[in-house]
Amino acid sequence: MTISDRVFDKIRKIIYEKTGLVIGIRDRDKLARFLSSRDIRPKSLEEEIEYDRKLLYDIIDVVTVNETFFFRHESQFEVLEGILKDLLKRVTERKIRIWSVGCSTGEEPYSIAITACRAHFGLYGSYDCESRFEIIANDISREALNKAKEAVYGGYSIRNLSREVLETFFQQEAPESYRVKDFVRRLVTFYLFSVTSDYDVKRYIGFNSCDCVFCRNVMIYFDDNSRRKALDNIYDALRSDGFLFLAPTETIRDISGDRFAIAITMGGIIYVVKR
Amino acid sequence: MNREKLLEDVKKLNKLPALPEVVYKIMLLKEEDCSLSALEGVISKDPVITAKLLKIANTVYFNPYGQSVTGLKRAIELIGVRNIFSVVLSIVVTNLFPIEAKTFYRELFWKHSFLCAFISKRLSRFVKGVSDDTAFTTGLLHDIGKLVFYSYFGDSYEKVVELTQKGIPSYLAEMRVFGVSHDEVGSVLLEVWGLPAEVVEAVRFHHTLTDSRNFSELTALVHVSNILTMLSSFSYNSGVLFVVLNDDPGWLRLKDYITDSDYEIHKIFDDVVYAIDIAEIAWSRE
Ligand SMILES: C[S@@+](CC[C@H](N)C(=O)[O-])C[C@H]1O[C@@H](n2cnc3c(N)ncnc32)[C@H](O)[C@@H]1O
Ligand SMILES: [Fe+2]
Ligand SMILES: [Fe+2]
Repeated sequence: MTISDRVFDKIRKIIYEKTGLVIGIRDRDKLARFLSSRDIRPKSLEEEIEYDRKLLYDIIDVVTVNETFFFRHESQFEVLEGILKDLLKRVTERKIRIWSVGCSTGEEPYSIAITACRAHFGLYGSYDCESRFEIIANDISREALNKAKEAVYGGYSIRNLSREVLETFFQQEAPESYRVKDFVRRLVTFYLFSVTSDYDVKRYIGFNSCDCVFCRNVMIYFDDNSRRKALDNIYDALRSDGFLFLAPTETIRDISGDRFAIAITMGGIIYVVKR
Repeated sequence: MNREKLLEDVKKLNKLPALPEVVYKIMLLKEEDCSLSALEGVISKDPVITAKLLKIANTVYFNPYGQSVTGLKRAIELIGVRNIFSVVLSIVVTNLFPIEAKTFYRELFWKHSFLCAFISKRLSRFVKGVSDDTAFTTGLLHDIGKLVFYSYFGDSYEKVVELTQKGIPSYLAEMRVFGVSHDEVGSVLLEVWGLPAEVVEAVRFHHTLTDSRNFSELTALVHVSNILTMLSSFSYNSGVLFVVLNDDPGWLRLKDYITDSDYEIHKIFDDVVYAIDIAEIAWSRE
Protein backbone atom coordinates (compact mmCIF):
# COMPACT_ATOMS: atom_id res chain seq x y z
CA MET A 1 0.00 0.00 0.00
CA THR A 2 1.25 3.49 -0.69
CA ILE A 3 0.17 6.82 0.65
CA SER A 4 -0.24 9.65 -1.78
CA ASP A 5 1.58 12.94 -1.24
CA ARG A 6 -1.65 14.70 -0.59
CA VAL A 7 -2.79 12.30 2.12
CA PHE A 8 0.65 12.18 3.69
CA ASP A 9 0.74 15.95 3.85
CA LYS A 10 -2.63 15.99 5.56
CA ILE A 11 -1.54 13.49 8.17
CA ARG A 12 1.66 15.34 8.64
CA LYS A 13 -0.22 18.48 9.33
CA ILE A 14 -2.59 16.86 11.80
CA ILE A 15 0.30 15.27 13.71
CA TYR A 16 2.23 18.50 13.68
CA GLU A 17 -0.66 20.48 15.08
CA LYS A 18 -1.35 17.94 17.75
CA THR A 19 2.22 17.20 18.85
CA GLY A 20 4.73 19.56 17.30
CA LEU A 21 6.43 16.55 15.76
CA VAL A 22 7.82 16.80 12.28
CA ILE A 23 7.47 13.45 10.60
CA GLY A 24 9.56 12.45 7.64
CA ILE A 25 9.94 10.03 4.79
CA ARG A 26 10.73 7.08 6.98
CA ASP A 27 7.50 7.55 8.87
CA ARG A 28 5.62 7.36 5.61
CA ASP A 29 6.55 3.70 5.24
CA LYS A 30 5.76 2.96 8.86
CA LEU A 31 2.42 4.63 8.40
CA ALA A 32 1.62 2.68 5.28
CA ARG A 33 2.37 -0.58 7.05
CA PHE A 34 0.21 0.43 9.96
CA LEU A 35 -2.71 1.36 7.75
CA SER A 36 -2.62 -1.88 5.85
CA SER A 37 -2.47 -3.85 9.10
CA ARG A 38 -5.64 -2.05 10.15
CA ASP A 39 -7.22 -2.34 6.77
CA ILE A 40 -7.74 1.39 6.54
CA ARG A 41 -7.71 2.96 3.10
CA PRO A 42 -5.45 6.02 3.10
CA LYS A 43 -8.02 7.96 1.12
CA SER A 44 -10.55 7.81 3.89
CA LEU A 45 -7.99 8.35 6.61
CA GLU A 46 -8.78 11.95 7.25
CA GLU A 47 -12.43 11.24 7.87
CA GLU A 48 -11.68 8.29 10.05
CA ILE A 49 -9.42 10.38 12.23
CA GLU A 50 -12.17 12.93 12.63
CA TYR A 51 -14.48 10.13 13.56
CA ASP A 52 -12.28 8.16 15.80
CA ARG A 53 -9.87 10.08 18.05
CA LYS A 54 -8.30 6.83 19.14
CA LEU A 55 -6.99 6.31 15.64
CA LEU A 56 -5.04 9.53 15.86
CA TYR A 57 -3.33 8.33 19.00
CA ASP A 58 -2.56 5.00 17.38
CA ILE A 59 -0.87 6.87 14.58
CA ILE A 60 1.08 8.93 17.09
CA ASP A 61 2.27 5.70 18.69
CA VAL A 62 3.56 4.63 15.30
CA VAL A 63 5.55 7.78 14.58
CA THR A 64 7.10 8.51 17.98
CA VAL A 65 10.53 7.27 18.99
CA ASN A 66 10.23 5.96 22.52
CA GLU A 67 13.74 4.78 23.21
CA THR A 68 14.79 5.33 26.80
CA PHE A 69 16.37 3.57 29.80
CA PHE A 70 16.86 3.99 33.54
CA PHE A 71 19.36 6.63 34.63
CA ARG A 72 20.10 7.75 31.10
CA HIS A 73 22.78 10.49 31.26
CA GLU A 74 23.59 9.17 34.68
CA SER A 75 25.69 11.99 36.10
CA GLN A 76 22.69 14.33 35.85
CA PHE A 77 20.99 12.28 38.52
CA GLU A 78 23.87 12.86 40.91
CA VAL A 79 23.35 16.58 40.43
CA LEU A 80 19.61 16.15 40.86
CA GLU A 81 20.13 14.32 44.14
CA GLY A 82 22.14 17.24 45.47
CA ILE A 83 19.52 19.74 44.33
CA LEU A 84 16.71 17.71 45.88
CA LYS A 85 18.52 17.43 49.20
CA ASP A 86 18.91 21.15 49.24
CA LEU A 87 15.22 21.62 48.40
CA LEU A 88 14.15 19.15 51.08
CA LYS A 89 15.88 21.31 53.65
CA ARG A 90 14.35 24.54 52.38
CA VAL A 91 10.90 23.63 51.13
CA THR A 92 8.54 22.41 53.79
CA GLU A 93 5.22 24.10 53.20
CA ARG A 94 4.53 22.49 49.82
CA LYS A 95 5.54 19.49 47.73
CA ILE A 96 8.68 19.62 45.65
CA ARG A 97 7.55 19.26 42.08
CA ILE A 98 9.40 17.75 39.14
CA TRP A 99 8.09 17.43 35.62
CA SER A 100 9.38 14.78 33.22
CA VAL A 101 8.53 15.91 29.68
CA GLY A 102 8.21 13.18 27.05
CA CYS A 103 8.57 10.49 29.68
CA SER A 104 8.05 7.67 27.19
CA THR A 105 7.74 4.29 28.93
CA GLY A 106 8.49 5.72 32.36
CA GLU A 107 12.16 5.04 32.96
CA GLU A 108 12.98 8.72 33.30
CA PRO A 109 10.31 9.71 35.87
CA TYR A 110 10.98 6.56 37.89
CA SER A 111 14.69 7.32 37.87
CA ILE A 112 13.80 10.77 39.18
CA ALA A 113 11.56 9.16 41.81
CA ILE A 114 14.33 6.80 42.92
CA THR A 115 16.70 9.75 43.15
CA ALA A 116 14.13 11.60 45.27
CA CYS A 117 13.85 8.61 47.59
CA ARG A 118 17.61 8.46 47.93
CA ALA A 119 17.88 12.16 48.68
CA HIS A 120 15.22 11.74 51.36
CA PHE A 121 16.98 8.68 52.75
CA GLY A 122 20.27 10.56 52.89
CA LEU A 123 18.74 13.24 55.09
CA TYR A 124 16.12 11.45 57.15
CA GLY A 125 16.97 7.75 56.93
CA SER A 126 13.72 6.73 55.27
CA TYR A 127 12.53 6.27 51.69
CA ASP A 128 9.00 7.27 52.51
CA CYS A 129 8.66 10.67 50.91
CA GLU A 130 5.25 10.79 49.25
CA SER A 131 4.36 13.83 51.30
CA ARG A 132 7.42 15.71 50.04
CA PHE A 133 7.65 15.00 46.30
CA GLU A 134 5.37 15.04 43.33
CA ILE A 135 6.59 13.92 39.93
CA ILE A 136 4.47 14.65 36.91
CA ALA A 137 5.21 12.87 33.68
CA ASN A 138 3.63 13.34 30.29
CA ASP A 139 3.85 11.93 26.82
CA ILE A 140 1.77 11.89 23.69
CA SER A 141 2.18 8.21 23.07
CA ARG A 142 -0.64 6.29 24.71
CA GLU A 143 1.10 2.99 24.29
CA ALA A 144 4.24 4.28 25.99
CA LEU A 145 2.22 5.69 28.87
CA ASN A 146 0.42 2.39 29.39
CA LYS A 147 3.74 0.67 29.73
CA ALA A 148 4.90 3.38 32.08
CA LYS A 149 1.90 2.85 34.35
CA GLU A 150 2.50 -0.88 34.41
CA ALA A 151 6.05 -0.18 35.58
CA VAL A 152 7.48 -3.57 34.64
CA TYR A 153 10.94 -3.57 33.08
CA GLY A 154 13.70 -5.84 31.88
CA GLY A 155 16.62 -6.13 29.47
CA TYR A 156 17.96 -3.01 27.80
CA SER A 157 15.96 -0.68 29.94
CA ILE A 158 17.50 -1.71 33.26
CA ARG A 159 21.05 -2.27 32.10
CA ASN A 160 22.33 0.68 34.14
CA LEU A 161 20.87 -0.55 37.40
CA SER A 162 23.00 -2.04 40.13
CA ARG A 163 21.99 -5.04 42.21
CA GLU A 164 21.48 -2.71 45.12
CA VAL A 165 19.07 -0.45 43.24
CA LEU A 166 17.14 -3.40 41.86
CA GLU A 167 16.78 -4.88 45.32
CA THR A 168 15.75 -1.67 47.02
CA PHE A 169 13.38 -0.19 44.48
CA PHE A 170 12.10 -3.13 42.43
CA GLN A 171 10.28 -6.35 42.96
CA GLN A 172 11.39 -9.24 40.82
CA GLU A 173 8.45 -10.83 39.04
CA ALA A 174 10.16 -13.22 36.65
CA PRO A 175 13.81 -14.00 35.85
CA GLU A 176 14.19 -10.96 33.60
CA SER A 177 11.36 -8.84 34.79
CA TYR A 178 11.20 -6.27 37.56
CA ARG A 179 8.35 -4.12 38.80
CA VAL A 180 8.93 -0.72 40.38
CA LYS A 181 7.90 -0.88 44.03
CA ASP A 182 4.76 0.93 45.17
CA PHE A 183 6.45 3.52 47.31
CA VAL A 184 8.31 4.74 44.23
CA ARG A 185 5.37 4.48 41.86
CA ARG A 186 3.17 6.54 44.13
CA LEU A 187 5.41 9.54 43.56
CA VAL A 188 4.71 9.65 39.82
CA THR A 189 1.54 10.65 37.97
CA PHE A 190 1.25 10.16 34.21
CA TYR A 191 -0.73 12.29 31.79
CA LEU A 192 -1.39 12.17 28.09
CA PHE A 193 -0.76 15.58 26.60
CA SER A 194 1.65 17.47 24.41
CA VAL A 195 4.31 19.76 25.82
CA THR A 196 3.53 22.11 22.94
CA SER A 197 -0.06 22.66 24.06
CA ASP A 198 -0.13 25.64 26.38
CA TYR A 199 -3.71 24.89 27.28
CA ASP A 200 -2.80 21.41 28.56
CA VAL A 201 0.39 22.52 30.24
CA LYS A 202 -1.50 25.20 32.18
CA ARG A 203 -4.18 22.67 33.04
CA TYR A 204 -1.99 19.80 34.21
CA ILE A 205 1.11 21.59 35.41
CA GLY A 206 0.12 25.19 36.09
CA PHE A 207 2.19 28.34 36.39
CA ASN A 208 5.40 28.76 38.36
CA SER A 209 5.00 25.41 39.99
CA CYS A 210 7.94 23.16 39.10
CA ASP A 211 11.27 23.03 40.89
CA CYS A 212 12.86 20.97 38.11
CA VAL A 213 11.93 20.04 34.57
CA PHE A 214 13.53 17.23 32.61
CA CYS A 215 13.07 17.61 28.87
CA ARG A 216 15.63 15.27 27.40
CA ASN A 217 15.66 13.84 23.91
CA VAL A 218 12.25 15.25 23.08
CA MET A 219 12.83 18.58 21.36
CA ILE A 220 15.25 16.91 18.97
CA TYR A 221 12.23 15.70 17.02
CA PHE A 222 10.71 19.18 16.79
CA ASP A 223 11.18 22.03 14.35
CA ASP A 224 12.12 25.45 15.71
CA ASN A 225 8.55 26.58 16.00
CA SER A 226 7.61 23.60 18.18
CA ARG A 227 10.82 23.90 20.19
CA ARG A 228 9.87 27.49 20.95
CA LYS A 229 6.37 26.55 22.03
CA ALA A 230 7.70 23.77 24.23
CA LEU A 231 10.28 26.01 25.84
CA ASP A 232 7.74 28.79 26.44
CA ASN A 233 5.51 26.31 28.24
CA ILE A 234 8.38 24.89 30.25
CA TYR A 235 9.50 28.36 31.24
CA ASP A 236 5.99 29.22 32.43
CA ALA A 237 5.79 25.99 34.40
CA LEU A 238 9.10 26.51 36.19
CA ARG A 239 9.41 28.37 39.47
CA SER A 240 11.62 31.39 39.55
CA ASP A 241 14.56 29.43 40.93
CA GLY A 242 13.84 26.29 38.93
CA PHE A 243 16.20 24.04 36.97
CA LEU A 244 15.92 22.67 33.47
CA PHE A 245 17.76 19.50 32.42
CA LEU A 246 18.28 18.80 28.72
CA ALA A 247 20.19 15.93 27.15
CA PRO A 248 23.93 16.76 27.06
CA THR A 249 24.01 17.37 23.32
CA GLU A 250 20.93 19.57 23.19
CA THR A 251 20.92 23.32 23.37
CA ILE A 252 18.29 26.03 23.72
CA ARG A 253 20.62 28.91 23.23
CA ASP A 254 19.01 29.91 19.93
CA ILE A 255 15.51 30.10 21.43
CA SER A 256 15.98 30.83 25.12
CA GLY A 257 16.32 34.58 24.83
CA ASP A 258 17.33 35.93 28.16
CA ARG A 259 15.24 33.55 30.20
CA PHE A 260 17.74 30.91 31.25
CA ALA A 261 21.25 31.09 32.67
CA ILE A 262 23.84 28.37 32.19
CA ALA A 263 24.90 26.51 35.31
CA ILE A 264 28.01 24.36 35.34
CA THR A 265 27.66 21.07 37.19
CA MET A 266 29.38 17.70 37.42
CA GLY A 267 26.56 16.40 35.25
CA GLY A 268 27.30 18.89 32.49
CA ILE A 269 25.47 22.06 31.64
CA ILE A 270 22.03 22.64 33.14
CA TYR A 271 19.82 25.72 32.99
CA VAL A 272 18.53 27.96 35.73
CA VAL A 273 15.56 30.28 35.32
CA LYS A 274 16.53 33.94 35.29
CA ARG A 275 13.85 36.21 36.67
CA MET B 1 53.41 24.25 62.03
CA ASN B 2 52.04 27.74 61.82
CA ARG B 3 51.33 29.92 58.86
CA GLU B 4 54.44 32.13 59.05
CA LYS B 5 56.76 29.19 59.49
CA LEU B 6 55.24 27.35 56.55
CA LEU B 7 55.48 30.33 54.22
CA GLU B 8 59.06 30.88 55.39
CA ASP B 9 59.93 27.26 54.59
CA VAL B 10 58.36 27.51 51.17
CA LYS B 11 60.41 30.61 50.43
CA LYS B 12 63.58 28.72 51.26
CA LEU B 13 62.42 25.68 49.32
CA ASN B 14 62.88 23.58 52.43
CA LYS B 15 61.73 20.07 51.51
CA LEU B 16 60.53 21.41 48.17
CA PRO B 17 61.99 20.78 44.72
CA ALA B 18 63.66 23.43 42.59
CA LEU B 19 62.79 23.72 38.92
CA PRO B 20 65.31 21.91 36.72
CA GLU B 21 67.69 23.85 34.51
CA VAL B 22 65.99 22.89 31.26
CA VAL B 23 62.89 24.88 32.15
CA TYR B 24 64.88 28.05 32.69
CA LYS B 25 66.77 27.47 29.46
CA ILE B 26 63.53 27.28 27.51
CA MET B 27 62.17 30.27 29.39
CA LEU B 28 65.23 32.22 28.26
CA LEU B 29 64.93 31.03 24.69
CA LYS B 30 61.31 32.13 24.72
CA GLU B 31 62.44 35.66 25.36
CA GLU B 32 65.24 35.64 22.82
CA ASP B 33 65.15 33.50 19.75
CA CYS B 34 62.73 30.67 19.89
CA SER B 35 63.88 28.78 16.83
CA LEU B 36 63.13 25.15 16.26
CA SER B 37 66.75 24.09 16.25
CA ALA B 38 67.61 26.06 19.40
CA LEU B 39 64.77 24.33 21.22
CA GLU B 40 65.80 20.97 19.87
CA GLY B 41 69.33 21.58 21.08
CA VAL B 42 68.22 22.26 24.63
CA ILE B 43 65.59 19.56 24.90
CA SER B 44 67.49 16.72 23.23
CA LYS B 45 69.87 16.65 26.17
CA ASP B 46 67.03 15.37 28.31
CA PRO B 47 65.92 11.89 27.22
CA VAL B 48 62.91 11.74 29.56
CA ILE B 49 61.40 14.92 28.24
CA THR B 50 62.20 13.94 24.67
CA ALA B 51 60.38 10.64 25.06
CA LYS B 52 57.31 12.32 26.57
CA LEU B 53 57.19 14.97 23.86
CA LEU B 54 57.17 12.27 21.21
CA LYS B 55 54.30 10.58 22.94
CA ILE B 56 52.34 13.80 23.20
CA ALA B 57 53.03 14.71 19.57
CA ASN B 58 51.46 11.40 18.63
CA THR B 59 48.10 12.13 20.27
CA VAL B 60 45.13 12.86 18.04
CA TYR B 61 44.95 16.44 19.18
CA PHE B 62 48.38 17.42 17.91
CA ASN B 63 48.53 14.84 15.18
CA PRO B 64 45.08 14.35 13.69
CA TYR B 65 46.26 12.51 10.61
CA GLY B 66 48.14 9.96 12.61
CA GLN B 67 51.47 10.00 10.80
CA SER B 68 53.86 8.46 13.24
CA VAL B 69 56.31 10.99 14.69
CA THR B 70 59.70 9.69 15.68
CA GLY B 71 62.01 12.71 15.55
CA LEU B 72 62.16 15.39 18.22
CA LYS B 73 62.21 18.21 15.70
CA ARG B 74 59.00 17.08 14.06
CA ALA B 75 57.44 16.59 17.47
CA ILE B 76 58.24 20.16 18.47
CA GLU B 77 56.84 21.36 15.18
CA LEU B 78 53.56 19.53 15.66
CA ILE B 79 53.11 20.65 19.24
CA GLY B 80 54.07 24.15 18.18
CA VAL B 81 57.08 26.16 19.17
CA ARG B 82 54.82 28.53 21.08
CA ASN B 83 53.45 25.71 23.20
CA ILE B 84 56.69 23.95 24.00
CA PHE B 85 57.36 25.85 27.18
CA SER B 86 54.07 24.98 28.79
CA VAL B 87 54.18 21.39 27.63
CA VAL B 88 57.71 20.84 28.91
CA LEU B 89 56.78 22.56 32.14
CA SER B 90 53.90 20.19 32.66
CA ILE B 91 56.09 17.16 32.03
CA VAL B 92 58.73 18.38 34.42
CA VAL B 93 56.48 19.53 37.21
CA THR B 94 54.44 16.35 37.15
CA ASN B 95 57.50 14.34 38.02
CA LEU B 96 58.95 16.78 40.49
CA PHE B 97 57.01 15.98 43.63
CA PRO B 98 57.68 12.49 44.98
CA ILE B 99 54.59 12.44 47.15
CA GLU B 100 54.04 9.23 49.04
CA ALA B 101 50.84 10.09 50.88
CA LYS B 102 48.19 7.43 50.41
CA THR B 103 45.50 10.01 50.03
CA PHE B 104 47.17 11.84 47.16
CA TYR B 105 45.54 10.99 43.86
CA ARG B 106 48.34 11.85 41.57
CA GLU B 107 46.48 11.21 38.33
CA LEU B 108 43.42 13.13 39.34
CA PHE B 109 45.55 16.05 40.42
CA TRP B 110 47.41 16.33 37.15
CA LYS B 111 44.47 15.63 34.95
CA HIS B 112 42.53 18.34 36.74
CA SER B 113 45.46 20.73 36.37
CA PHE B 114 45.91 19.88 32.72
CA LEU B 115 42.25 20.28 31.95
CA CYS B 116 42.22 23.66 33.66
CA ALA B 117 45.26 24.61 31.58
CA PHE B 118 43.62 23.43 28.39
CA ILE B 119 40.42 25.38 29.04
CA SER B 120 42.37 28.48 30.08
CA LYS B 121 44.25 28.38 26.83
CA ARG B 122 41.04 27.80 24.93
CA LEU B 123 39.42 30.85 26.52
CA SER B 124 42.51 33.02 26.20
CA ARG B 125 41.99 33.39 22.48
CA PHE B 126 39.11 35.73 23.23
CA VAL B 127 40.81 37.84 25.82
CA LYS B 128 43.04 40.61 24.64
CA GLY B 129 46.35 40.89 26.40
CA VAL B 130 46.56 37.33 27.69
CA SER B 131 48.86 35.03 25.74
CA ASP B 132 47.72 31.46 25.30
CA ASP B 133 50.99 30.18 26.64
CA THR B 134 50.71 32.14 29.87
CA ALA B 135 47.11 31.05 30.25
CA PHE B 136 48.13 27.41 29.89
CA THR B 137 50.96 27.71 32.38
CA THR B 138 48.77 29.40 34.96
CA GLY B 139 46.04 26.81 34.59
CA LEU B 140 48.55 24.02 34.93
CA LEU B 141 50.05 25.40 38.11
CA HIS B 142 46.99 26.91 39.77
CA ASP B 143 46.66 24.20 42.44
CA ILE B 144 50.37 23.54 42.95
CA GLY B 145 50.01 24.70 46.55
CA LYS B 146 48.19 21.46 47.27
CA LEU B 147 51.39 19.60 46.47
CA VAL B 148 53.20 21.76 48.98
CA PHE B 149 50.71 20.69 51.64
CA TYR B 150 51.18 17.07 50.72
CA SER B 151 54.95 17.44 50.78
CA TYR B 152 54.87 18.86 54.29
CA PHE B 153 51.93 17.18 55.91
CA GLY B 154 51.42 13.94 53.97
CA ASP B 155 48.32 12.08 54.99
CA SER B 156 47.06 14.75 57.34
CA TYR B 157 45.81 16.59 54.25
CA GLU B 158 43.02 14.06 54.51
CA LYS B 159 41.43 16.28 57.17
CA VAL B 160 40.92 18.88 54.47
CA VAL B 161 39.41 16.31 52.14
CA GLU B 162 36.96 15.29 54.84
CA LEU B 163 35.84 18.87 55.29
CA THR B 164 35.36 19.35 51.56
CA GLN B 165 33.12 16.31 51.52
CA LYS B 166 30.92 18.11 53.99
CA GLY B 167 30.57 20.92 51.49
CA ILE B 168 33.33 23.31 52.52
CA PRO B 169 35.44 24.63 49.62
CA SER B 170 39.01 23.35 49.76
CA TYR B 171 40.71 26.69 50.33
CA LEU B 172 38.49 27.41 53.33
CA ALA B 173 39.02 23.93 54.70
CA GLU B 174 42.79 24.43 54.41
CA MET B 175 42.51 27.72 56.24
CA ARG B 176 40.73 25.94 59.00
CA VAL B 177 43.23 23.09 59.27
CA PHE B 178 46.53 24.78 58.40
CA GLY B 179 45.81 28.48 58.78
CA VAL B 180 46.76 29.10 55.18
CA SER B 181 45.43 27.88 51.83
CA HIS B 182 46.86 26.34 48.66
CA ASP B 183 46.32 29.45 46.52
CA GLU B 184 48.61 31.53 48.72
CA VAL B 185 51.18 28.79 49.34
CA GLY B 186 51.25 27.99 45.63
CA SER B 187 51.81 31.58 44.63
CA VAL B 188 54.75 31.85 47.02
CA LEU B 189 56.36 28.75 45.54
CA LEU B 190 55.89 30.03 42.00
CA GLU B 191 57.42 33.33 42.94
CA VAL B 192 60.47 31.53 44.30
CA TRP B 193 60.63 29.48 41.13
CA GLY B 194 60.78 32.71 39.17
CA LEU B 195 57.55 32.52 37.22
CA PRO B 196 56.17 35.78 35.82
CA ALA B 197 54.41 38.06 38.30
CA GLU B 198 51.10 37.87 36.43
CA VAL B 199 51.07 34.08 36.84
CA VAL B 200 51.88 34.37 40.53
CA GLU B 201 49.05 36.83 41.02
CA ALA B 202 46.48 34.77 39.16
CA VAL B 203 47.31 31.67 41.19
CA ARG B 204 47.11 33.70 44.38
CA PHE B 205 43.55 34.83 43.72
CA HIS B 206 42.08 31.96 41.73
CA HIS B 207 39.51 31.25 44.46
CA THR B 208 39.10 34.70 45.92
CA LEU B 209 38.99 36.96 42.87
CA THR B 210 37.25 39.74 44.62
CA ASP B 211 39.89 39.92 47.38
CA SER B 212 42.20 41.32 44.78
CA ARG B 213 41.40 44.98 44.44
CA ASN B 214 41.44 44.85 40.69
CA PHE B 215 41.73 41.30 39.53
CA SER B 216 43.38 40.69 36.20
CA GLU B 217 41.93 39.04 33.12
CA LEU B 218 44.31 36.16 33.64
CA THR B 219 43.01 35.66 37.17
CA ALA B 220 39.44 35.62 35.88
CA LEU B 221 40.41 33.20 33.16
CA VAL B 222 41.93 30.63 35.47
CA HIS B 223 39.16 31.04 38.01
CA VAL B 224 36.52 30.32 35.37
CA SER B 225 38.49 27.47 33.83
CA ASN B 226 38.73 25.85 37.22
CA ILE B 227 34.95 26.00 37.45
CA LEU B 228 34.56 24.58 33.97
CA THR B 229 36.63 21.52 34.88
CA MET B 230 33.51 20.47 36.75
CA LEU B 231 32.16 19.42 33.38
CA SER B 232 34.56 16.48 33.34
CA SER B 233 35.31 13.75 35.76
CA PHE B 234 38.58 15.53 36.47
CA SER B 235 37.41 17.81 39.16
CA TYR B 236 37.37 17.83 42.90
CA ASN B 237 34.28 17.56 44.92
CA SER B 238 34.35 21.14 46.07
CA GLY B 239 31.08 20.93 47.91
CA VAL B 240 29.52 23.11 45.24
CA LEU B 241 26.64 21.59 43.33
CA PHE B 242 26.51 24.05 40.52
CA VAL B 243 27.82 27.43 39.54
CA VAL B 244 25.59 29.82 37.68
CA LEU B 245 28.05 31.43 35.33
CA ASN B 246 26.23 34.72 35.15
CA ASP B 247 26.58 35.16 38.90
CA ASP B 248 30.31 34.61 38.81
CA PRO B 249 32.47 37.76 38.89
CA GLY B 250 35.21 36.09 36.83
CA TRP B 251 32.80 35.07 34.11
CA LEU B 252 31.20 38.51 34.02
CA ARG B 253 34.62 39.95 33.28
CA LEU B 254 35.39 37.48 30.49
CA LYS B 255 31.95 37.44 28.96
CA ASP B 256 32.35 40.89 27.50
CA TYR B 257 35.13 39.64 25.29
CA ILE B 258 33.16 36.74 23.88
CA THR B 259 30.56 37.43 21.26
CA ASP B 260 28.39 34.36 21.70
CA SER B 261 29.44 33.22 25.13
CA ASP B 262 26.81 30.54 25.66
CA TYR B 263 27.81 28.95 22.40
CA GLU B 264 31.46 28.98 23.39
CA ILE B 265 30.69 27.25 26.67
CA HIS B 266 29.03 24.45 24.73
CA LYS B 267 32.01 24.25 22.40
CA ILE B 268 34.39 24.02 25.31
CA PHE B 269 32.26 21.27 26.75
CA ASP B 270 32.72 19.37 23.45
CA ASP B 271 36.45 20.06 23.30
CA VAL B 272 37.03 18.83 26.81
CA VAL B 273 36.89 15.36 25.29
CA TYR B 274 40.15 16.04 23.45
CA ALA B 275 41.77 17.35 26.57
CA ILE B 276 40.82 14.24 28.47
CA ASP B 277 42.29 12.18 25.68
CA ILE B 278 45.65 13.95 25.86
CA ALA B 279 45.65 13.92 29.63
CA GLU B 280 44.99 10.19 29.70
CA ILE B 281 47.80 9.42 27.31
CA ALA B 282 50.43 11.90 28.17
CA TRP B 283 50.18 12.68 31.83
CA SER B 284 49.24 9.46 33.45
CA ARG B 285 52.06 7.51 35.00
CA GLU B 286 53.08 4.82 32.61
C1 LIG C 1 13.33 9.42 22.79
S1 LIG C 1 12.03 9.52 23.96
C2 LIG C 1 12.86 10.24 25.34
C3 LIG C 1 12.45 9.65 26.65
C4 LIG C 1 13.14 10.21 27.87
N1 LIG C 1 12.83 11.62 28.04
C5 LIG C 1 14.63 10.00 27.78
O1 LIG C 1 15.38 10.97 27.58
O2 LIG C 1 15.10 8.88 27.93
C6 LIG C 1 11.03 10.84 23.29
C7 LIG C 1 9.59 10.84 23.84
O3 LIG C 1 9.02 12.12 23.63
C8 LIG C 1 7.66 11.93 23.34
N2 LIG C 1 7.10 13.12 22.68
C9 LIG C 1 7.27 13.53 21.41
N3 LIG C 1 6.61 14.66 21.18
C10 LIG C 1 6.00 14.98 22.34
C11 LIG C 1 5.14 16.04 22.74
N4 LIG C 1 4.78 17.00 21.88
N5 LIG C 1 4.71 16.07 24.02
C12 LIG C 1 5.08 15.12 24.90
N6 LIG C 1 5.87 14.09 24.57
C13 LIG C 1 6.32 14.01 23.31
C14 LIG C 1 7.65 10.70 22.48
O4 LIG C 1 6.40 10.08 22.46
C15 LIG C 1 8.71 9.84 23.15
O5 LIG C 1 8.16 8.97 24.09
FE1 LIG D 1 42.38 25.71 43.70
FE1 LIG E 1 41.57 23.61 40.86
